[in-house]
Amino acid sequence: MAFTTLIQGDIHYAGLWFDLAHRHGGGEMIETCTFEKTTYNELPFKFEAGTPDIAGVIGLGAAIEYVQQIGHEAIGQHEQELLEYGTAELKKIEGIRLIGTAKNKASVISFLLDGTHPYDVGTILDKLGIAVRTGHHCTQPLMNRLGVPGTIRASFAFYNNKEDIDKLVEGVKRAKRMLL
Amino acid sequence: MSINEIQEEIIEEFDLFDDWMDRYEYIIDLGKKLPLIDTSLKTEERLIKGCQSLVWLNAKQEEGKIIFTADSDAIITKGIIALLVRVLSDQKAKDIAETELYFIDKIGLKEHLSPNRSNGLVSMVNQMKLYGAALK
Repeated sequence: MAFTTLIQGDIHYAGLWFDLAHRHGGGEMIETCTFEKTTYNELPFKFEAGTPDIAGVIGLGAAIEYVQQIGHEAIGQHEQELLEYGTAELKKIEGIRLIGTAKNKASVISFLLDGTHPYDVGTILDKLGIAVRTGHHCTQPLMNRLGVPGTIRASFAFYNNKEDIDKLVEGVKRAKRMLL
Repeated sequence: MSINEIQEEIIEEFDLFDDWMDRYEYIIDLGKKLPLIDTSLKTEERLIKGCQSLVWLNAKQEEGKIIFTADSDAIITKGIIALLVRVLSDQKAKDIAETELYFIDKIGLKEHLSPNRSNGLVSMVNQMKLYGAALK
């Protein structure tokens, strides 16, 4: 039974694979082409029809160089400073509840504002030009366990600064005034 | 009033506001008003799930018209729901099914109805129209 299922599964998979391989044509995915018959290149080329993402590859190289120039240590230190500053400043707002306060956590702050829904706070921050993520963050079981409808989450990177955090704090205060 | 007359009325109301702040304050006020749906109707089968906020929708037929009541756990979503109910409730099923909802776009709330925002509103509008199509 299991063996039959496996075979059927494989046939199905092979069919899907064939379908995938021939969905897009052109470029290096062709090996030979005549009126009678076309053969396709080997893996991975048969899946890579068309012009490769040359600009993307060059862009990625430049981005890696940029990050290396600044250095991982400097980035980590900057992000840690932002995390500490952001945590301290947000905590000053009455009704803020931080979700996730592990030691050595990454530079993100997930929080709730008492009496408000994360979507509402996120909408107002969005209107103010402040980008945060709201919702379950793809962790619905965790949100259920914590008994919250989702959270608001601000993530800090090395291109952020303290001024950005001040704007976030002002934005949250404004959302609080509007929503409560 | 017809669906389009109500849409025009809402567009006129929103024209009075100068900026997004005032528009949102108005929507939040709408959302803060009494529950739009009876608590006993907030059941699993009336729940429209969104990743961000939950929406409950109930429909009943009365004298050839559909009466909608709805609610949400988020205030801005609830305020927008209040507008949708104002436009589509107490209308004939056929009119609901065939209507084109353009007021959301005109009053600058389009982003809330984008499929990218999974706040239950898009599903709610579809569900309202489905009721219209099924009951006409």
